[in-house]
Amino acid sequence: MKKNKCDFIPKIKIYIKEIYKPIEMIWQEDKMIVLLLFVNSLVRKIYIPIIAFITKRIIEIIEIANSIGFSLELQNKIIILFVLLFIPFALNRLWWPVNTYTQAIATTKLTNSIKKKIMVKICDTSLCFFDEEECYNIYENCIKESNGKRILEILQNLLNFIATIIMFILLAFPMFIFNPILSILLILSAIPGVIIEKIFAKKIFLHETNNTLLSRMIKYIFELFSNKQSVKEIKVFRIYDYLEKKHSEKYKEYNQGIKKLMQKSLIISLPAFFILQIMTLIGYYFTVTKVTNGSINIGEMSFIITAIGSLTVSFITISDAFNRTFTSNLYVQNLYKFYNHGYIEEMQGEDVVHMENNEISFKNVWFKYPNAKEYTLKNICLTIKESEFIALVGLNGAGKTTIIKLLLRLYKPTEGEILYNGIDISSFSIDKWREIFSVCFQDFFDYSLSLKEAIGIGNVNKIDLLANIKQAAEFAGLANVIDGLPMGYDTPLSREFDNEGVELSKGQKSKIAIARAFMSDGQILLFDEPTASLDARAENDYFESLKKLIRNKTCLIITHRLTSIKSVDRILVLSNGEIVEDGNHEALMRNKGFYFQLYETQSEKYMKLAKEGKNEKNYTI
Amino acid sequence: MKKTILFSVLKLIIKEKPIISISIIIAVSITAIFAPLYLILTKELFDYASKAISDLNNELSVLSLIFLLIKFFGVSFGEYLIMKINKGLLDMLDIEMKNILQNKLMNKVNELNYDKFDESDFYDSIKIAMDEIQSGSIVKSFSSILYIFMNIITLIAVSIILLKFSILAIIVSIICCLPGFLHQAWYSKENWDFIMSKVSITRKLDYLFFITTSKKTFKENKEYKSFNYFIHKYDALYCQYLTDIIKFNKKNLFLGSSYSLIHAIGTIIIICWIYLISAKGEVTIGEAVMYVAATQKLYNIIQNLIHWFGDASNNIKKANGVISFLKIKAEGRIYSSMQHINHIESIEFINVTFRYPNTEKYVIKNMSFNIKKGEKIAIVGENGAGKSTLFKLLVGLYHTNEGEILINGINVNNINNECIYKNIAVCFQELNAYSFSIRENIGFGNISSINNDIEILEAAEKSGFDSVIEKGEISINHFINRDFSNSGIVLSEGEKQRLALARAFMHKGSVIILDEPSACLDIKTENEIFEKTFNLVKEKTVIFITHRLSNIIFADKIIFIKNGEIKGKGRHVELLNSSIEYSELYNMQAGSFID
Repeated sequence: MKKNKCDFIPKIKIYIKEIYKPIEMIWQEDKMIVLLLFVNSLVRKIYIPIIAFITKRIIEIIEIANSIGFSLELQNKIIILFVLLFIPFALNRLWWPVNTYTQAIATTKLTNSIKKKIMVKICDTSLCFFDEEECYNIYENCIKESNGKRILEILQNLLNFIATIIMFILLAFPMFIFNPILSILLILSAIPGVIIEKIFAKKIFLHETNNTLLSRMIKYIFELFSNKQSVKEIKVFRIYDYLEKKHSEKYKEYNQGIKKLMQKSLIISLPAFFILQIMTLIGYYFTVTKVTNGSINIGEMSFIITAIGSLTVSFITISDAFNRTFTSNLYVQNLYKFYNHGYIEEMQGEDVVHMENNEISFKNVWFKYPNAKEYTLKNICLTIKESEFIALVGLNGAGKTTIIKLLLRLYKPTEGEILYNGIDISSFSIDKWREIFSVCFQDFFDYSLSLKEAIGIGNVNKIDLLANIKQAAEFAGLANVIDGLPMGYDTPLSREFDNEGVELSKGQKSKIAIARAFMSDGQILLFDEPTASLDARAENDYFESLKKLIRNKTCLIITHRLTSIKSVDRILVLSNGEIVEDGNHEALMRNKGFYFQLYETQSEKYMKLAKEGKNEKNYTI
Repeated sequence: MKKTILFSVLKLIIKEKPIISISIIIAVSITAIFAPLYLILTKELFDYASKAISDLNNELSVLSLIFLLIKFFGVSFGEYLIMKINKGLLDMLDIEMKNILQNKLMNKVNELNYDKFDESDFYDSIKIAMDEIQSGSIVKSFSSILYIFMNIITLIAVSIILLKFSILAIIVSIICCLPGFLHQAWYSKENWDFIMSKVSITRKLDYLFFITTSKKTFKENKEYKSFNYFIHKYDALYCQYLTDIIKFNKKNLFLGSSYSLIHAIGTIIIICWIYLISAKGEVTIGEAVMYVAATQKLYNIIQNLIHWFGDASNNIKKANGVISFLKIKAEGRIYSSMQHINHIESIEFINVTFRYPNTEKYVIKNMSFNIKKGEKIAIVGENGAGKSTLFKLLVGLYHTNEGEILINGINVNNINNECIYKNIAVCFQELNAYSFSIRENIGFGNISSINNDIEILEAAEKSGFDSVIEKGEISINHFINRDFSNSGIVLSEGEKQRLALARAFMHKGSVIILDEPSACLDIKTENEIFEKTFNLVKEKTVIFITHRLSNIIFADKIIFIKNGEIKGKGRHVELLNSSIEYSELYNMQAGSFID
């Protein structure tokens, strides 16, 4: 018992904090709505005791009128009461339309507010946030449930709670004056029902929390059927029956618990109601007896009958509203954890210092991802000089993309430093630093926007300059694709939002990503395997364009295809996180090391094909 | 129109869950009588009290009071019991129907032709249907109708009580509530139209939210600093949206409030009239209390009816999203006349021409070729030439009436799709790693062997995925992705490729088609996998698309495609000689390797 008491107060403090923030959010969003909601709740609850009181007076007058006649004086009194009756009556009738209005507006505004805050927070978030599992979970939950209804409910519960307390007081006061013992007994008789409600609410909540995984899985399977890619596979692999069975099983499991809970709740709640009803009827009996022996008149009886019913109901509502309001609100907790997370990128910093011949150097850089056991990069020592055209080569997982992420300051080296012209790059302002790069990522995103936007977001300041966009598109080899599009650069790139939309092939989408990179016009180009889906001609075009674009720029490309590697100044070979070879093509071939092996694996096939060709030729001749 | 939807809803529910639904109907009907009973008992209570003041015969009175209270108890307890049972039944019905409807939707999507996804409306209709199933509008429609029914019965019963007072009272009540009714009907329709018109905006807003906050776009957003661009777009779109919503709702607020007030005035007049009559002694206080309560009850019922009518209207419209989706007919193919095949001996394309539904441009033009069992065919060509589309046609995801595609000499349009899928193993270009277990991801290639550990491990070994399993020190029951398991493994693109290949290897079909199976693999791995693959598939027919022309060494024949047309087919050397375009393409890659 003691333990519970000690927990209780600090818990309440926490809950109050949790309520305060969302309410503050709503208040800032739209003060009128909050006031409307408050007045509406109040009116709805206070209406009952006020009407009951006025009715009492009316009935008293009727009683008098019945015994001594309906005098003019009584008529006047009753008319005044009629007018008084109208006001709360009318106000209460307005509850519904006002409620509809406030719901619609408040939900819209709140949903927007929540979403905006999430978007703004993401701007500042650093990439390593996503590597922490707990953070990622918080993030996922926020995104999935960014709906204002939940927040609105919090406010509505609180207002409901306050309004019901006021109503309770207005009823309890006269009841206590009438008969304190009866009042207390009535309230006590409502308690079993309240306790049972609370217990079951908790059980249902626990059931839901323990089964979020199940419900998410059910949703996931269900949603596989709305996605073009997965439906394709469902058909071709004929996995429909399997998925359907899995779905049903999970559903059954999830609902098994709920059904049992519901049945239990029904059975146990009956006796509680029983007790409450008996007490209420005892109250009625008592009241009527009081009328019989002349202690109260019928007007007062009508008030008390109403009060008896409403008192217990309001008591139950108060405890229910209390539960709803002061309860662990996972949703809000989650939201604010996300809003307040500390994985921020440090925006401050110096301007980037440029010189005649700029130089980037990695000084003994070691790097491992957060929570990783092994180092992805080991003792990288490397200097990149201005205008160098460097290819970064190596097997999957060797660490090539990681070098780019470190260069872009998406991550910080675990040990060692990266210098630009001798200055640690972490001292520069991140925004200014990133401006010097043009990047094309391996896992570029396929935007369902217009072609112009999909290219233009590479440089949002120039997104409306069609000339720049055209140039970028040409460099990337999109000229002939665009010629085939009737809407040109305004063509939507997917049919999700527009029937006029066009679905491009994967290779064409890569070109858009390359065009984006070209748009961004940085002095240092970082291209991560963009040619994976490009055909031979497109790849060729791409290298040609790259050469055109490079001019005096520094360029670092990651590549698997060694096709155009001979045009590169310098090749860095990465293996298991270390730079194992560094030199131009001829030098490395002479070395007969790792690079030599990679190159031979490709070239020997072409050699074989050439040989076959010669054999065939000889044969036909 | 609404009636037919309503009818469909009722038919659906009663057919699927007859016992529960009929129990609910009975329970709701019974509920209707409690309100009027309660009114009558209240009158009796007050009458008793009035009489008891002036009555001297106490003995009898106490018993009758107790009897009255017992009746009260019966009514309230009965009402409570039935309401609780009703709620429980409705909740259960909701859960059961959600499951049933989800199954039906999934089944329907499976039944429908794949080309449905090329219709932009289809995206909308699936999403709407899914949302509506989740929100339970089918069951809500059902319960709304029942509540209307119940309220009408109560209305009649209460009116009968009030009739004793005056028929005028009833008439006035009804006239006053008429504007409210009409307004509600108007509002329902307007609201629905309004929401529907906003669906595409809300989808766009959701999409903008998605590309701003998704992990997938994060790096690019950081680099291009495009967060703000998207946020501005979102703001602009939202502003318009909000303005429209406020305008619409303000109008409704004004009208709704006005009509509520009219109704309130009418009701108050009647109530005051009743009290006046009672003051004059024409009715007892008990009767007055009953009539006033009846009037208020009438008001409440009418309000309820207005509300439930609106609700029902909305829900039925929403339910329509589900019902009409389930009614979409799978087009044209008569399954009974379908033929079956056991092996694939030959695949032939004869003058095949195809364009995607609702598009103008032909993606495949007049293609003809012939593939025999056991051949290894490489399909080569530039991006967008139509290579992946060729596969989709071959596998029966799309159909064409121009030209013929024959398998074993039979037109694919006449072959049961199941058979085609059974005989052809596919590895698509888009790598799907499902958030299920490794076993399932690989096992999907041959679902009947999903519990055969040995086969699965073999398939993993063939594609090189086993190294991923060993490296992670996990079993095939481990989950992929972190969606449903904290210890799930997240795969790189290369690892996903190997997973997809393992899936293809699970399949026992005689034909394997691979769409760029090595796009994401490094040279060494690609070499290993290709060599392994082609060693393992000696008797099978393999058709693969590749951009790395060195891989054609594994092929017997090459089909060279440009702009949807076949520009050359045959052996590599033949093509080098016969097609300038081909040799140009080839030399772009090979040139640098051969000096």
